[in-house]
Amino acid sequence: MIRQALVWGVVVAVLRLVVVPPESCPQVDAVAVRGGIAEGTAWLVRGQRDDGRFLYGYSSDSDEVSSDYNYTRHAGVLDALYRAGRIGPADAGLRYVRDNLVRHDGWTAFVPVGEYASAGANALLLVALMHRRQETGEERYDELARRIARFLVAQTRPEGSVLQFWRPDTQRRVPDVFGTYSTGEVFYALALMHRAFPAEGWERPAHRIADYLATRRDEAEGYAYRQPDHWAAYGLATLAPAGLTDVEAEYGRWLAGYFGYLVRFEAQHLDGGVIPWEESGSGLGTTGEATTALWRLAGEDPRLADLRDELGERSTCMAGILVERQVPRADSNPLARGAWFARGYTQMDDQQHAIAALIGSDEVLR
Amino acid sequence: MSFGFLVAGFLGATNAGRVALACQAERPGTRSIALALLAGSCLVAVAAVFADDLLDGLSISPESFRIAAGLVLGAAGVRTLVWPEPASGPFAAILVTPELACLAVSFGADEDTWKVLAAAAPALLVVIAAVARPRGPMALAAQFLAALQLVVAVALIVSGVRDV
Repeated sequence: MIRQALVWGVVVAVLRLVVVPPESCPQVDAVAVRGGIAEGTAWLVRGQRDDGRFLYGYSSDSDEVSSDYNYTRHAGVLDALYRAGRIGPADAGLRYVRDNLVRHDGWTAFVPVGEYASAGANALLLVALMHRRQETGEERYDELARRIARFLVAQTRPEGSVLQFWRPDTQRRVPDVFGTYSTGEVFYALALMHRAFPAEGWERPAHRIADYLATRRDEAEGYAYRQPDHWAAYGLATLAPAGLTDVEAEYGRWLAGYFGYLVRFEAQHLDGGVIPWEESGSGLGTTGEATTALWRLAGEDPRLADLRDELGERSTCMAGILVERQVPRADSNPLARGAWFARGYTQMDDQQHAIAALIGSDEVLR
Repeated sequence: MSFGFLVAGFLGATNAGRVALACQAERPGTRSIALALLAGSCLVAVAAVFADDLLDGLSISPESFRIAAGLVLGAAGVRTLVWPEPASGPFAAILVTPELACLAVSFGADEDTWKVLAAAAPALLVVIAAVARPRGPMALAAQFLAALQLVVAVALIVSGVRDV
């Protein structure tokens, strides 16, 4: 009897402490979410330099800023700023892009000096331009958008895979190199192009990439398991009004399950616990972005309608976590205020993804 | 979840083969057998009826608890596969196991109570039959049902991870 009671005690303790700690979703409303967006974008804008680039990273432990830079993240930050309505700073960042454009074979690509043209960076740039168009109603960059989209299509192979790089020195694509995220980024960018210019045929390469992501990417590119791809979630949500194939809808369901699980996991580890866990703003943000994109998708596609309410709950939960994890506006350190840190460090994409997730959650909470 | 899956889960977690082995080893009286069946039935009923309240109180979503239930079922299933004989203890508590409790809570949180109770009934009938005539390759039966339990465990974990 004592042995049996002991077994029960051990099972209950292990389950509670390790497997199912309580899921904590801090209360959040639209006001708090908008405050979080404003503080996050303010961090990016405070760190913007005269040439339009942004502060890359900051360590609060050593009080040091990072001298690194990443052009894919630059484009991603532009998109977050455009979506948040911070057109001025985003346009300043866009000036840096426009100073570093290469034209070739009917297309244009953003290629900083000494770098290869990256499909991921250019896809996010195109996403940013599409969101700028939505926010401002201006069409002044439509031709640039089309030229960048042609670069992305030129990087896309017949079966839907996307080569990551094009080399300015050889003027050729770099063979057999694929980015972890760039395929999904290109899919999303082309889906946005289709939404903006539905008569121009951008949906064909977009569907081709979506089918590759859903059926072949992981095996072809050597991943041991199916990749959680929040850019693909955005792409599916954007293409949904025009209609998804059954394969794409099923892929959306799989992504919803995966990201729903990640939100639950984060909610279980918000308050620490036996297993130390502190996710970055970028990690939390991408999970939140995907969850909200899939919530939108579930509202568009009747095959996924059963997921809508739960995805809305998960999105709100992640918004609460993000608001709670953000350095409050009362913090006196301008390099920390409004940012999301993990292990004493933050960088521009932490803010980019967290802001984008909160923008999506704001839509859910409305 | 299909009704068949629920029945499979209860067949594995109640494991009539293991109960029959215990019956053979301990030769319990009718009263002990009745108590064991009553205790097992009560455990399933209480767990299924109060599953939502319990998980709400513990701030655990049904999907996350499904993963926990799968892990407990899996661990218990492996143990029975390797050592089919039940641990020593009062026969009346033979069905009061962590795996049966976790399974009933998980099913109760996901499905209507009547459906869970209806799915548990065939498993309890199989246990009654095994206790009434504990003959045949009981260790093998216990291992077979443990393997079924493992399959259910994996399905629960996968479903818990894949559900929103």
